[in-house]
Amino acid sequence: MTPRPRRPNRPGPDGAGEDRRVSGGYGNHPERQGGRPDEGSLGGVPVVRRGAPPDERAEDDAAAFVLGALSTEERAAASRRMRADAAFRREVAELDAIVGLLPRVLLLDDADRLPSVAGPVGSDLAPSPDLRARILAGVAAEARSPVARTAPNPGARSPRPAPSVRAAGPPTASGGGQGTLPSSRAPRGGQPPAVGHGRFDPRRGANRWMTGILAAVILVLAVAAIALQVRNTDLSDRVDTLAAQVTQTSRESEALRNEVALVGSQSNASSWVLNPNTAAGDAVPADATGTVFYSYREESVAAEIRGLPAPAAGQAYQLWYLGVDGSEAPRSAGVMTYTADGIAFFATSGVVRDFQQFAVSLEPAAGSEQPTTTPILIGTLSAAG
Amino acid sequence: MQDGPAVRDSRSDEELLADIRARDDSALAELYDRYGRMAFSLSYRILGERGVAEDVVQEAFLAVWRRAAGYTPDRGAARSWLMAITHNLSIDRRRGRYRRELTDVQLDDVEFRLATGSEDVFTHVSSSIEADEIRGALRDLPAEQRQAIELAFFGGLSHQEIADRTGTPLGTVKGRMRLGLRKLRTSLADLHDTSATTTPGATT
Repeated sequence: MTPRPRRPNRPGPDGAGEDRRVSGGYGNHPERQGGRPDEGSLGGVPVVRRGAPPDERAEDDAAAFVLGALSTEERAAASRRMRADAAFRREVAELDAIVGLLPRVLLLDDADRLPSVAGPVGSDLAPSPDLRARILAGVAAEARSPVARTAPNPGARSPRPAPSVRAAGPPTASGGGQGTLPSSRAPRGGQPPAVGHGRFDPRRGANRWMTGILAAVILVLAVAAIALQVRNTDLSDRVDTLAAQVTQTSRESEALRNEVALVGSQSNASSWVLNPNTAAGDAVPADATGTVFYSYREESVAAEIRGLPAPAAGQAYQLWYLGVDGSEAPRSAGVMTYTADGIAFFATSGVVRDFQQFAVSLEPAAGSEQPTTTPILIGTLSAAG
Repeated sequence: MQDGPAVRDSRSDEELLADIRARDDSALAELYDRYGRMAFSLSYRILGERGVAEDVVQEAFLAVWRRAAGYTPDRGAARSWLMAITHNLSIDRRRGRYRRELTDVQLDDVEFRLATGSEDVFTHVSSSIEADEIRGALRDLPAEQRQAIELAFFGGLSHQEIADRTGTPLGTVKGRMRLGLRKLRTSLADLHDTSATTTPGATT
């Protein structure tokens, strides 16, 4: 009855409350975690905790540290702490033992061994034959040089933590690449935040206009095709004419492609590689492949897929966000445009966050609330950007 | 493509390291034959370019050659050491923060970690764990934990990049990494030796 709003009793919808799941002391001690005092109140007075408590964050840093995921500054801090704090050191070493096992997975032959990260697999992972000789030549050159650049350091024999002092020095400025990477692989963090808005929107508008034209042409063709089917007359020549007209729209298809490329060129865009879903069996051509570009900051998603058959009249390909761990329903990104070039395109502004994968399924042309067929393509994040 | 020698070198990894310390380059060649492809795979996955990845592998083997004098086998298997070096060098290349002095500090860190880890029961169990068991344990993880671990380790992404790219809060990403690694440890230890699940020294 009363319209007075009540504050919701749970964390916001952004999932930040999940942080609290990491609790307890170091190590794998359920009893300690279970014994965590109720920090939500103190003598009946509610205590608002902002951010994670120091220890909790440090624990999490141990994992990010051994996985190589910390920034330069954080890494230096973790390095110092590892030497100063025995519990943290043990935590780091225990997690490191796990991380040390991970490379073995790379040499397994299954293509899907790392579904979270798209990348080269199988025989592509063999180095060139001359690498061995290059390494041995490098070692020989070093042996010939009377002053090795880093002679074996006698101090390094002592059981530590002697050299750690260096870690305490001021970290060199991060992100100041020395050109060791080609520009296409420049670290994203080292680039200024994309200014995109002024530059981005006008072109987007133009592309939208082109998209509209193309969509109209497709619609006309679809209607014509339906009409032809219904009448079942001998008008195949007219179909050919229409097909020829649509072929002319490949320029529009190029415009769509440009739009996809534009989203993909955002410095903070991630790219997701779409591959046939094995669960869909023969329903999908094995060579169908595509890319989804996702930019959380620019709030844009764009996709381009090749190798899919044209959807039947009244059907369309629809792009989905798949939730984490299958625990939540897929969320629709939208219906894709299928061009005469045999390419399915998609571009829109507005994104969903905290999803696990993308998927593509065949749906009624207007789109569905939820997938009604098994997704034919699944998209995983490509680390290569 | 190099294949291993027809007659397998009978030296153990530890013996290879000892011989490398004695400046025997045939031992380094044998180490390459055993783990060169794995090192390249790791670097290539992270960097996405063959040439750069090969440079990193070359650098990693050179680091083994240079640092072997200060490294003793009780700090961890030669393979773990080589892979940790390769991983660190790859990540730094990817971030464009390659610097010799930073690298030395990091490789000191790696050796310090391996030395600490050698007291860990799990480290001794881990050599008998098979690759498909590791993959199986990864598959059993909640998908978001698995994603965070794989993107960081095999993708070379920072926690900030993972948060940005998946639209997930930063603290959540870090938490997922740790929960996932803990869970991997538990499930792999259970396969082989349940006593390895517990932290050494926790009982005394």
